[in-house]
Amino acid sequence: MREVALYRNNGLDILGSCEFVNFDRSRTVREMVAVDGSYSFLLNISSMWLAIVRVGGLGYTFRDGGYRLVDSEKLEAPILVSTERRVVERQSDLHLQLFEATRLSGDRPRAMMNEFRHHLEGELTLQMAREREGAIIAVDGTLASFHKESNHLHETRTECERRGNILVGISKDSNSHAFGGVRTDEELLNGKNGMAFVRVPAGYEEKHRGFLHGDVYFARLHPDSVKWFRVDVGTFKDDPSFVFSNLAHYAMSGLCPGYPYPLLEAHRFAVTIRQFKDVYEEVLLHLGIEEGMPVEEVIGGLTHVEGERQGAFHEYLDQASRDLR
Amino acid sequence: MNEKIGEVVSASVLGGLVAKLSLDNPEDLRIGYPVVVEGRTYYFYCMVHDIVNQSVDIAERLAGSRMRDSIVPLNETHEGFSGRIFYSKANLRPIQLIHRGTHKLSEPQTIPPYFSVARHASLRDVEKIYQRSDFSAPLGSIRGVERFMVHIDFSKLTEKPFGIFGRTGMGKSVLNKLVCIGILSREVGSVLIFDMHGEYGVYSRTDKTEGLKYYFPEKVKVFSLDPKNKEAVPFIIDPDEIRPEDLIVAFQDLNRNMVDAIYEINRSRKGDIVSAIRRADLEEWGHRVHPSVLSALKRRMGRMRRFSFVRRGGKDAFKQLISLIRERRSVVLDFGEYGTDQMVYLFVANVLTRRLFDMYTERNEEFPRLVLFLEEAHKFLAPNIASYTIFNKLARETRKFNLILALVDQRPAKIDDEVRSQLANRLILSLKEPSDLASALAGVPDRSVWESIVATIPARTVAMVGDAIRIPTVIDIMNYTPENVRENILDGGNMTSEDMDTIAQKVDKVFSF
Repeated sequence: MREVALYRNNGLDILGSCEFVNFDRSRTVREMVAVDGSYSFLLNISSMWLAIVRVGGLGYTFRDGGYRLVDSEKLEAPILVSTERRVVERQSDLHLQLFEATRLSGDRPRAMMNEFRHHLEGELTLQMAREREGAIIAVDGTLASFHKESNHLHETRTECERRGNILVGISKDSNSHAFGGVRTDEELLNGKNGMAFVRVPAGYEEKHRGFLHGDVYFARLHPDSVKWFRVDVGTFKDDPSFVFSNLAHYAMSGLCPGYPYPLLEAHRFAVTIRQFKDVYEEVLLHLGIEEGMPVEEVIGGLTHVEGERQGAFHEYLDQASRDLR
Repeated sequence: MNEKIGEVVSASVLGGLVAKLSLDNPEDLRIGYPVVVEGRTYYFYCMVHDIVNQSVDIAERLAGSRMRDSIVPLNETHEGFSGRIFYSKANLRPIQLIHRGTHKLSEPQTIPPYFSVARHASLRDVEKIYQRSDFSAPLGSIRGVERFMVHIDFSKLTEKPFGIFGRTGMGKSVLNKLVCIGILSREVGSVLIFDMHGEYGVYSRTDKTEGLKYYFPEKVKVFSLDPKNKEAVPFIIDPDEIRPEDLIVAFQDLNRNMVDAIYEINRSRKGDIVSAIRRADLEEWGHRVHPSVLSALKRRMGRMRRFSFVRRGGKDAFKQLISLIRERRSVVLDFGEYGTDQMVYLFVANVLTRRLFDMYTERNEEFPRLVLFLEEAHKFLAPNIASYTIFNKLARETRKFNLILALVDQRPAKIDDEVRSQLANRLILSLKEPSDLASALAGVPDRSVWESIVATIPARTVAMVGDAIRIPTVIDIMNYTPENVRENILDGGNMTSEDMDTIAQKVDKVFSF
């Protein structure tokens, strides 16, 4: 426990030297767009994985003391990824680029699918950013691109700058260690109260230059926020107080104080793809039969949402281990 | 009331439908309300049998929390991508299918697709379901629909025994009166009422509302056990007409030895049974009846001394009563000062009904249909008493003979199962006791659904099931006023204003004794 206590304090000194800036909510409220996506694997045949991706963009305004849904957009697409070059070469350039970009990933199908999700999220974010001026455009996750072409971030940022939109990326859970502690940044910041933001040490951003499309902050957007959230600021970088004071209006929901309610709803919308998995499986069976595939093979290839085959042998072993305990 | 209330999110032929509600306030919906679900081929006419706010983790976490400066997550403040973030659900029980094209009715043997719209039933919907006939009249309106008086077929109702069940204070008396008025106005039979509390004559002695004779002065004759009631025909019982069973039912607390002793004395009696028991001495009977049993019986017979209506030499009221019934007239038997003595009620009802039963079953002559309203029915039909009374037989057999039993009770669980199973129609007011709920609804399809409805309906609301109504229905009983009765049941045709004036003038005299 001595060691645990020792490592627990590691990084607090750096935090002490950081500038925490308190802020209030702005006097006026901007419209806010929240974009989030999700996917569900459906089928795995050999080296090929088929998934369905859903991305939702919800436009909100804050009026009469409540969050009003102004409009909503969605993108939904079936995506086939493969770990077999011969298959990928017959697909699009983007498939090939992502195939190359994820070659070092331990779980390549998931890594590729995540990039496709980012790609569609970026597409919808760009579309909705173009339709607005003076709004907040918020995406789930960091403003970082693993692969430059995949998420339209550069283009979105340019578009937001032109239209006076605030562009932010907000991470639900961040595992970063930007403050140099053994504990994650979120854990380190947990003891700090109030409504404030703090920028991560410059070294972190320097280290990730090329991937990042914004400045990295941690912020507490509500006095009763459940935690500090990582917020990447893509526009209005010279005035972070302006950004956070505007964003804070949307983080007042009693459901999730400190986290913007529109992002919560966008997340709820996106993950419905996983709840409707049965429906897609049924469609898949019909299509498989139409394409002349043996139905047993299709059924045998059905996967859980994360891509593992249903009834895989390891599942049997897990069950047996539990039963034998 | 024709607006959408939600969409179907789950359905089962056996288990019913579940609708996710889009109402601002779940309080706008109530158990028993009719709802129509719009399927592709059918309208599903349903009844709300439960309204639910499901347990939600987030709600449990938020309830009671004191977050500063935050927006309480209500439907008014948090619009979600799929509508309301917190919503209620309604469990719906399909009762009838209406074909969207032909309007033909059928039983609910299928389910509507997901997301089918659920809406309040409209007047047009209910008009397709409830049809009128020459013998139908309303008892009230359907809950949850703009005013629609639902018609009961009184001809069917009076073909077989029926029951009216409900707790005290829930509106049994008013319902009884409306049912009687329905029967008389549609001329499907006459009625015999044992009027313990003076409610059915011209005016009710308890709440001053109008009784049967008010509406049907010519059709209704009032008899009275009370000699002080000069408006009514005196009702006298000849002691020779009393049988052992009448005493067993009247006293209710006789043990096996006492019952045996009554039959023993009855076998060798000279004169009537009551006098024979009073006269029996230990010298003569001591070897056949235990002295303590005999003295207990004699003490009980002593109570009958104050029954001034049991005497010889009076005009035989029963003969008058029978001739009235032959003329299709109805009888209200007023108990007057005996109204609070349950023993008198049990005794008189049993004596009278037994004689009626004999008349209806033994004579070849065809008697008009007579509906006999039996309040506190379980006192006659409890399993330990039923075999001594005529009512057991009456419930099972007499529809063949036009003598129909209407059981009125607040404790249906205490009525013998076999008798209860003969009831073709049940009008059930609020009941709370689980055993009463189960008994009142025994044999009804979807009993558990109806139990939850009956357990929660308010006073003056009745759930009716049986063949006298097209489908099981929850009815708000109409306010019992002369205007309502005239407008909805009598149709203004059964009584002239002169009739009403004449009756009204007699009211003071009726209450002057």
